[in-house]
Amino acid sequence: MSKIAPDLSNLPSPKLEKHSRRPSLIWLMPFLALAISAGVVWNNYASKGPLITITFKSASGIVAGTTEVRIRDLRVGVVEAVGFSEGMEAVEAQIRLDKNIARYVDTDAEFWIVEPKVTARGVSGIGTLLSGVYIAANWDGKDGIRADRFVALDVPPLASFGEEGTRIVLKARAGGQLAAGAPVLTSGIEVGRIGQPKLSNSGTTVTMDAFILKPYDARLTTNTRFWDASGLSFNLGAQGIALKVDSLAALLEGGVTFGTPVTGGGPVADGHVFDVFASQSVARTKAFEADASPDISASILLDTDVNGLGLDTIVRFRGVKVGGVGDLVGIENGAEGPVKLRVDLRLSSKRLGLPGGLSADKVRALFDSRVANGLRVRVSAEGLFGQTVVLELVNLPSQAKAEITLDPDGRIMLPTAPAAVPDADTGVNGLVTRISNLPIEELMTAATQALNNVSKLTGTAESVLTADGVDRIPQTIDQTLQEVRALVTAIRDGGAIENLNATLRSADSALKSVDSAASSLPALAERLNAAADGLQSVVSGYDSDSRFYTDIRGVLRDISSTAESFRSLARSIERKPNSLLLGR
Amino acid sequence: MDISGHQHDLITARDAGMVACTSCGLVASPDVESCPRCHARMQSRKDGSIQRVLAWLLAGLILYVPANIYPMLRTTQMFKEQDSTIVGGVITLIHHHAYAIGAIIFIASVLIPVGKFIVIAYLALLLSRPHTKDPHRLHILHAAVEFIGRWSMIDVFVVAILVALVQFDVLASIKPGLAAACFALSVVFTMLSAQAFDPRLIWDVTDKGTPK
Repeated sequence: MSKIAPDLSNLPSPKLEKHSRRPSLIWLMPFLALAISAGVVWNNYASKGPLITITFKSASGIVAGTTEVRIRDLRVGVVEAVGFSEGMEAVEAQIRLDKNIARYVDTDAEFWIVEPKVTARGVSGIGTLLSGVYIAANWDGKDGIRADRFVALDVPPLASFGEEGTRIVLKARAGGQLAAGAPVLTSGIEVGRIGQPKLSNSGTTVTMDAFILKPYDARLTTNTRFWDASGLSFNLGAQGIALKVDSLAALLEGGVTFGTPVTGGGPVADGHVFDVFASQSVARTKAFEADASPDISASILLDTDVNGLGLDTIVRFRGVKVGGVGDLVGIENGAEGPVKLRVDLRLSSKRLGLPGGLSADKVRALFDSRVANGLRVRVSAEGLFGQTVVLELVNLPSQAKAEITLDPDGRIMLPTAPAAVPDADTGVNGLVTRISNLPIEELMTAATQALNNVSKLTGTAESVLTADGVDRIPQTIDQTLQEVRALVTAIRDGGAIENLNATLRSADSALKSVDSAASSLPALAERLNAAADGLQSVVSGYDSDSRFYTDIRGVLRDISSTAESFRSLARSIERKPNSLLLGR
Repeated sequence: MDISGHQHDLITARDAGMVACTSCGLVASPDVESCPRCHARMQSRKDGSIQRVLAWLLAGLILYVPANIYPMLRTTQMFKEQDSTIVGGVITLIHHHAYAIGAIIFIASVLIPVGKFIVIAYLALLLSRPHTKDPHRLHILHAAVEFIGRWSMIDVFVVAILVALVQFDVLASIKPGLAAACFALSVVFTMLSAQAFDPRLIWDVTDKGTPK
């Protein structure tokens, strides 16, 4: 044992401080720490809003802790947990809302999932490509009944709470091309949008909500008509070709346009139901006819069968359509008498210039005086080649006196006049001169121009399209033109012959040629329409920015100019031969 | 053991009726107030050392709780926000097969602080009353705690560097979470706790003559 210190005996002993039992101030530190921790916890807890539960059909990209809830793209909450509802029927997301907005979340709050969407009108939700989906929310700024369980919408609501406007219901025929979000246009500008179309129970109609934005909803009246503006309408008829292209967006995803062709409608409240017509012309016709609904019934008896008379036959008075055929009934006239045809007419008092709401007696009295003055009903024909049968109310004072009778059922029977269907010998005299007046040169020029345009169109179209229907169009047009040419030649031949019989024969063959040409017109129109349909489906598969689109536009321009040529050709054909061949 | 065999022969300054300077090591007579050489305050044993140790320790321990519960980092990446706690961050790193970094963070942020709490608490409670433990071992324990404690700050530095470096607005940005401040305070408090500890207490083995 070696001691390190040599001598310790005489060392002073150190002052041994007594350990102070008094708690030191240092003990404040744990309390400070406690205060800090408590502050942190409280801060975190206090800033937490309420937890709400939203039920979705599928999670579609919702991630716990990441997926946000946004209002107008501002984050107001975050998904804390995602799980199944009881029975695994749906997906439930627990969402922690921000505290400051929580008090507005009441029963009218709406939630839906926003995913990236590329439509013809632009790309929406592009941010979600990178960040994943988010849940969009919508509620008003008013306190209401608080709720903490919601069911998410399948599709975004039509209007957010900030938007003012009118909600209407559109009813369209099934099979339209309207999609949710499609635009509602008027005068070419977008003024609203369409909600999710729903098929009616019967399956014949489709209803959808639509929302018209504030300043434009004032243009809606009860007389407003909606029609399908699904982009491209292509119509080739006796009047020529009607090609109409609405906005590109409408071309791709459909859309409806509205207009108010008839004034005097009342204001429209939310939920008003409008029909969507197939086209603008149909909508307008329907609008004009709506105020001329047939309210007078009268009948006629016809001795003979009239070819072409049917339920769609219209009744004209001084050229104006005043009604239609309501029914056709064959009547046994005695034992050996010939079968007569009773035609029930449904006439519009408004169109006839009569006051509305007349009783049958009043109507009879009114007709009585007119019939005495020579009013008769006769079968007539109209149209390009006189093939359409119409019923005419005509004043023929030279006719033998007749009066209104009542049949056993109390129907008003109007007297008839002999049919005025043009036949071969009417106007034969004038035929020769009229044929010589035929603007053949003009026709030929128009035809050639049309042909040129067609081949130009083929050149452009072939570089872009390979659709069968499109390929066939120029051939069909060619064929038609050849027929037209044959017709023209035939007509010219007819004009060169002096012999009346020969003229008649020629006229006959000319008529036949024209007839065959005319009969191929609807088929051609069908094909062009089919081609246009095909074109539309091809177009919808492409990006609106691609070169293809520019090409398509060129094609459409060419189609338009072709259509223009066709129209002038058709006008020439229509104007002259019509008067020439029918004598009126 | 060799050392333990000599333990009875150890004479502390106090045993010798002297006072040692903690700053320069000079042994002086007990009646001096300050060190004759370096003028540091001279105390045979620090006043209320154990109390102070325990107080700082408790403060550090309390703050260590929110440091682990709340997010350390708030990462915003392409409209996506992600909070990560200390343990959560370690798990994420391991999921991304960054085992080494995960281990470093885990050791620096979890093992070391927890170990430090335990060791300091053990030393403080042990030395607050007479003990018969081997002072040499206790001394090594104390030295280790003092040395290793500062490495807990690694996590705080990681946060500080990341926050400073990763600021690309929308693309990616990192913000410190609530836990970062708590953790830093916790580390500071435990360091203060270790510092408040007077290692000379270790050598005050009461029952000097008592054999092991």
